[in-house]
Amino acid sequence: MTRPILVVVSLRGGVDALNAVVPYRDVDYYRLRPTLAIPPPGKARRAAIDLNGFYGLHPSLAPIVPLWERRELAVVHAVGWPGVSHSHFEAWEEIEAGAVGANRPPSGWLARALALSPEENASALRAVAFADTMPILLSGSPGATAVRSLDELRLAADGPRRRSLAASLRLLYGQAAPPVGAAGIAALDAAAAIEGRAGAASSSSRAGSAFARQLGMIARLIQAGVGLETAAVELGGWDFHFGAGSTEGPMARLLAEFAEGVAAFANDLGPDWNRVVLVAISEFGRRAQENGSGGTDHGQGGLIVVAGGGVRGGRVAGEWPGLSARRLAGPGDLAITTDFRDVLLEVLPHGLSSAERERVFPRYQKKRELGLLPA
Amino acid sequence: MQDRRTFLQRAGLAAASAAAACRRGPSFQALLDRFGTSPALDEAGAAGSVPPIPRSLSRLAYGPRTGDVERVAAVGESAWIEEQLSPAAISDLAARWRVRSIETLQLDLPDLFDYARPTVLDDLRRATILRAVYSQRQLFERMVEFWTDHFNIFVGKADCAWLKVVDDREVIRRHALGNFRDLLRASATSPAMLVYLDGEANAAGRPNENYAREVMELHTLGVDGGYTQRDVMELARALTGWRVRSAFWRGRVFFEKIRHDPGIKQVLDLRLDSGPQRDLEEILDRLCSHPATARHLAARLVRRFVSENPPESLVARVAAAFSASRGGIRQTLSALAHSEEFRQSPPKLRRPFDFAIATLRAVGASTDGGRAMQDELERMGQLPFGWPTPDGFPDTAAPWKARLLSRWNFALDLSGGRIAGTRMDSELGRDPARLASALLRRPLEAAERRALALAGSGPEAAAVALCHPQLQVC
Repeated sequence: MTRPILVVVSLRGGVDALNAVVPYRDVDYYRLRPTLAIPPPGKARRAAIDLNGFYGLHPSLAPIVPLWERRELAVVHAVGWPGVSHSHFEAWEEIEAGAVGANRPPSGWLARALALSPEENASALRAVAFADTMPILLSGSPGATAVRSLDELRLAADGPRRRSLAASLRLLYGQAAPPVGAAGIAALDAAAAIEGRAGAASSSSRAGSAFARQLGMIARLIQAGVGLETAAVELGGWDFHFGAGSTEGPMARLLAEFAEGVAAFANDLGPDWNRVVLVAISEFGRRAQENGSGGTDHGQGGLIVVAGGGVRGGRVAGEWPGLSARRLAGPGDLAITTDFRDVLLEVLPHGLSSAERERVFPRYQKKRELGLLPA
Repeated sequence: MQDRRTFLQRAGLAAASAAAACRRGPSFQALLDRFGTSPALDEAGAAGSVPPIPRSLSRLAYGPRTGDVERVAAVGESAWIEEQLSPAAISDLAARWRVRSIETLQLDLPDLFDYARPTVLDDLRRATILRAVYSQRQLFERMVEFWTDHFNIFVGKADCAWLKVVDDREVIRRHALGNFRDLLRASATSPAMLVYLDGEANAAGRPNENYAREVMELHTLGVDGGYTQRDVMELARALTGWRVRSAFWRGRVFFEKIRHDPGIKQVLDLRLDSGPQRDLEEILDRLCSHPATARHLAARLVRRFVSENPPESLVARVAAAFSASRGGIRQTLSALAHSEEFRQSPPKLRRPFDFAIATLRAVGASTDGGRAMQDELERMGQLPFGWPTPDGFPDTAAPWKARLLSRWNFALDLSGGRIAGTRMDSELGRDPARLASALLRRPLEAAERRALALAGSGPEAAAVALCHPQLQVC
């Protein structure tokens, strides 16, 4: 397998891992979730979809079941890192920086991974983030672009006027000090790279959520061969302290949005799905015991979903820590058995030297082999 | 600090602002819209001998309007800052006249609910834009923006679109330059905050940690402020009982004793057992007087107004001013604004809202702040009240600098007359080099002239001038 195109999905807000990938054989789950629990497979009209006799998917994740069945989707449960913060913002900074504790690098792990690329890729569209603002994940990567839609990469002027405008701006920004100067040149390069590739630049015709449309745009960038190596996309709104719902409700709807987007993405890509590794990650899981307002508070162990045509899927990787009182961590959180960096190290290109790995995830030694991609 | 009256006498500003108020009477709207667009631009473009834009105008205001630089030069920068720190004394007819017809702004709960969500949101955003562009109380509006981020509320959640109207008026605007303790108290019992961070769902026996965590992490102590998970859980218990009515008197806040946890709570070094509503007051007192809060707020202010790498010396002095004045926002800000670090600070990337407003002000464009202008802000990534998470829009350059194209497209839409309700003088594109020179307040270098020459003339060429890299920073 050649270097995969890495698509990172940031599920902002702290996904309730226990209700997304349900440990339905763990009796403590039902004790801790009197109103939120997802019924075991077959026990209700809407119930968990069995994966392996222990875990089941939330019924709203049905659209990704075919990926699971084709063994193109894996889940890593109880993921996090020692001492994970209960703060959304600190946890995201650590995940995206790829380093925990003090003295974190200001750049993102994905940006640093991109810098290791052995072959020179001069494309201005090597790295695209679909977001209102550039996430830390890709900060520090000179060529990264942040957009909400690919139409935004077009200067709003016609034909020859656009070219003279771009030339004028290029000259102005070429003389300007960083960071504005360099950022301006990168924006012009990105606009030039997409120009004339009508297929890639047009808005998605597919109905669906903003998330699905953005994944659709990533698919078109990949198919248009513009040199995309990595993309970041976000799906937020998981912070359900209140009224999360069980098999129905706000969290169920958000899970459906996620699953429909990912399923359509795989479908859109066709054979190119084999070149893609999609990693969906959240900052932390949630408290094992539901709170009094039909939601859950911030917890620790969460999950990562890894999918792609070349992924060794069809399994839930990582060790299940259990939900009995003595196995819970801190204020009653799912314990962490797999470090998030162990997962992310496996989606990096093979054959990196230890010095290169150190650059992406400083001060970290891999602890656990998960075998998410073929060796 | 000098007495404000003496200051006004010395600077002779009282007379000046009275005269300005007459000039900008409502019946002169047309005049006001065109207010000095061309003459001063001519002046500035002609030679190189114009004063540069003072830092206070670009950071503590949304950039200069025509004549502002000269006015600040005349009274002196620190006198201008002092004037801005007492907004009530600044006549503000231009802004008031523009927002007074926005009906929903004045309404209370539950009457606001008679209006549809899009109307309420459009009104609130329109007022925000109009005030930023037209208000003479520029520092006040800057602080409104600062606190709107600090106590961020996302209008996409539940009833927050309606509740934010009241939060904006009674929490943020009422206390923006007042006392932090009052501001925090108002926010803690604001219906919008109780809904946004689930305080209303927090009840005895079934605590909800959402607000308890964010009030310490974001609003007061800061993430490294020394609190623990246990403090979060105990604080959640202490804050139980506050509710928001959902039907009759929808949106009104009340305290329901039966939902309050009467047990003893231990938060930080505080033992809370003095009964229902006192818990809230005691914890707010403790949070406000905590040294970590002074530091956290000082660092946030310095990050916003000085540098994203806050100089430690300044943070310490601003924190000291906060503590000494027991949370006096005016005093705290004064320590910052009069500092050498502020005057000497390196350029800072404007956020999109700042860039857009500063552009409109610089070229004397008129705007109604309506939907089309709001769409532009949304495309640039900063639609007011649209940030989903409680940390507010980012304050550093990295998240924003990769989105310059959307700013250029805003400039193209503006100069091309494609923003309904927002208009700039189309003549400005006749000579883009002169326009750029006027905006930068300096003669252009040869390379800059060559660059602008490539754009030719006309609306699009004007846009290139508006997009000059130096105008992306302040």
